[in-house]
Amino acid sequence: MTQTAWAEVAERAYPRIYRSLVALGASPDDAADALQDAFERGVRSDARTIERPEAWLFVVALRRWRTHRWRRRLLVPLDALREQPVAPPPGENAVVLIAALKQLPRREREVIVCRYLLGLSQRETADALGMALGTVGATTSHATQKLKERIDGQDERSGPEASAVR
Amino acid sequence: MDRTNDLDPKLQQFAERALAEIPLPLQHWRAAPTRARRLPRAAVVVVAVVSIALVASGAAVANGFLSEVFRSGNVSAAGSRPVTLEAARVAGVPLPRSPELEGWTIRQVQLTITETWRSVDLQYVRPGSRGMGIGVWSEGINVTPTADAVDTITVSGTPVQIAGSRDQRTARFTQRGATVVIRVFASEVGPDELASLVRSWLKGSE
Repeated sequence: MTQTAWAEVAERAYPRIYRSLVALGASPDDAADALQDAFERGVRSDARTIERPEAWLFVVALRRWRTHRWRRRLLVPLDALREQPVAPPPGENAVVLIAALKQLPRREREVIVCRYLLGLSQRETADALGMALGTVGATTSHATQKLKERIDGQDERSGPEASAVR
Repeated sequence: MDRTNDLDPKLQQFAERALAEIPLPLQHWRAAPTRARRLPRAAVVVVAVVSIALVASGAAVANGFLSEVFRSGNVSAAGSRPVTLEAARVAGVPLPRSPELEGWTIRQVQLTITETWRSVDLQYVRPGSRGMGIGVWSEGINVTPTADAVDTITVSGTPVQIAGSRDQRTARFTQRGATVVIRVFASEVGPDELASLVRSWLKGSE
């Protein structure tokens, strides 16, 4: 894949991957930084060897964000001094989804994001997250059930007519 | 990216709707990526640790009980040692006649003498308290406590600056040319009690 083709793929994949990172709990800044780093790494490496560019971008960005988040915990006093840009708030459904995802264990959260938000297959998810294929299937099923219960639970608190996924 | 049909269709629809509601940044990519954009990780860690230490020590000096001393002179160049109340009188600054002050008892007296100024720091204790400090500085130096707000009252005819920061309260006044600063924890000593301490100090010192 040429660098131009890589840039086109990355541009197409940007919205879904960026939003998936935010859904996982990344701040808008962190998501953009992580994705930028992943993109640059793709530019520097031989993009021809990347088989599934969207999945590759997501995984690299996800790892980058995890590392950054861990480091930020150490640097909270300094980070608090940084000017925080005001990002527009996400919509109501997005807030419900992000809140429900936050209640899931990290592995389940990442599987849900890979499967439902990024549209990866079980095999792609297994490769991306370094999990066994059977574990991905079981985790998807289990986490789907929990997520539906949580999202419906939140909707019932705001009104029985608002049930989103049941 | 291929989808498989083991997913819950309604959750899938909801996830699609929710995903679309997450706003995107105006600009996706930054300008021409470069390798030299970031500092080496080790340098970042070292800078961060040093910065944290500097910020922490700066905050301690700015807000701590000893901020006046640090801001008034070079302590490392001064002779400073714990002494008895009687021995501290060589400083020639107003000091209390008694080790008791309205239920507070002197625990330690620190005498500092430099070529240009002298100070006595009195540490008081009382049951259930974290302590109280009274610093007395000789003529020639002007000590102003760090404070967010300053109010001036008159106690026994002496103007007293009452100041408060986050968890401290101070009373600063001049007595026979010396500067006296009484420092208390705001949660333990209110403004009225502080004024009363100033009154007792003025009455009981020589």
